[in-house]
Amino acid sequence: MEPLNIMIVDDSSITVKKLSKALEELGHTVVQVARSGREAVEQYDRVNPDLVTMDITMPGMNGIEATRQICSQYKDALIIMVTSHGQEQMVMDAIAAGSRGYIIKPFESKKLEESIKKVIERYG
Amino acid sequence: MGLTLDAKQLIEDVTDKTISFLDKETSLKVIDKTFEANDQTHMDLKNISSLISIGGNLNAYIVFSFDRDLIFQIFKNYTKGLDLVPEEQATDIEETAGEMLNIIIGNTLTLFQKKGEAIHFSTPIIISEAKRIMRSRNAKFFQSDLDTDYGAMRIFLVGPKELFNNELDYL
Repeated sequence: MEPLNIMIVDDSSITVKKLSKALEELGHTVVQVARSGREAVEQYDRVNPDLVTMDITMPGMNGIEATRQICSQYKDALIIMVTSHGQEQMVMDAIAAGSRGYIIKPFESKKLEESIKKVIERYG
Repeated sequence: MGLTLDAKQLIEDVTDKTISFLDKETSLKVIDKTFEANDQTHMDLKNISSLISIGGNLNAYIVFSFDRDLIFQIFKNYTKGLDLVPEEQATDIEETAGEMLNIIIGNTLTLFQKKGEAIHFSTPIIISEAKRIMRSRNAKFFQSDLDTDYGAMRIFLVGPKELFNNELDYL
């Protein structure tokens, strides 16, 4: 798989560091970190990432709303939720908002790799 | 189902998920576990605590409260291999306390989900001091204690949350 430019959206600095390390070990580049859904929406156009990893629970605008806003404006946006929420309804809400993948924290590097690969193969 | 039954089930499930998280993510073993099913009269917070408010039909607060040595060990093991700046260690330890609670609550709530309705919860709040909070007549505290070789942590369930403001002081 080609290396990707990835934007991480998460308010936890520890998760950002863990995700960055895992993504970089998979050969990708973290081009931007946003700490809230609002920041992600504001930065998406300028950063134009190949893929976004999106948390759900964040201060201010949550990840589902941010996904909805990004995907309504950028039809080819590729967003994977990386969240602690395992509830079925939350997964359905994320998909309805435009998310292409869903990973439950704590994540394993292998699962992250598989999910990215699947999303790129299907929608990239 | 009333609050008491929900609360008991919730704190038991959170306790089990916490033991599993400590084992799988930080290689720390819980050597003893005690659970107080009766209402507690007060909540003694340890050195560092993280708090999340849960909405929906559960309507409660969950608090994780850690001995300093234990949260340091959790932080050390959980962030193993990451490039961390020593000057930011205090913040990173607090972030670890918050993220651990966030992950465990997110994972546990799958057991309480109702069809068509997602249960939302807040971002974690950190309380970085030992503090005693007394129970008012209408509040309910439930507590479980986990002991490890590095110290103890307490899990509190507090409900109903309308009794408290955001600083966790009585209204």
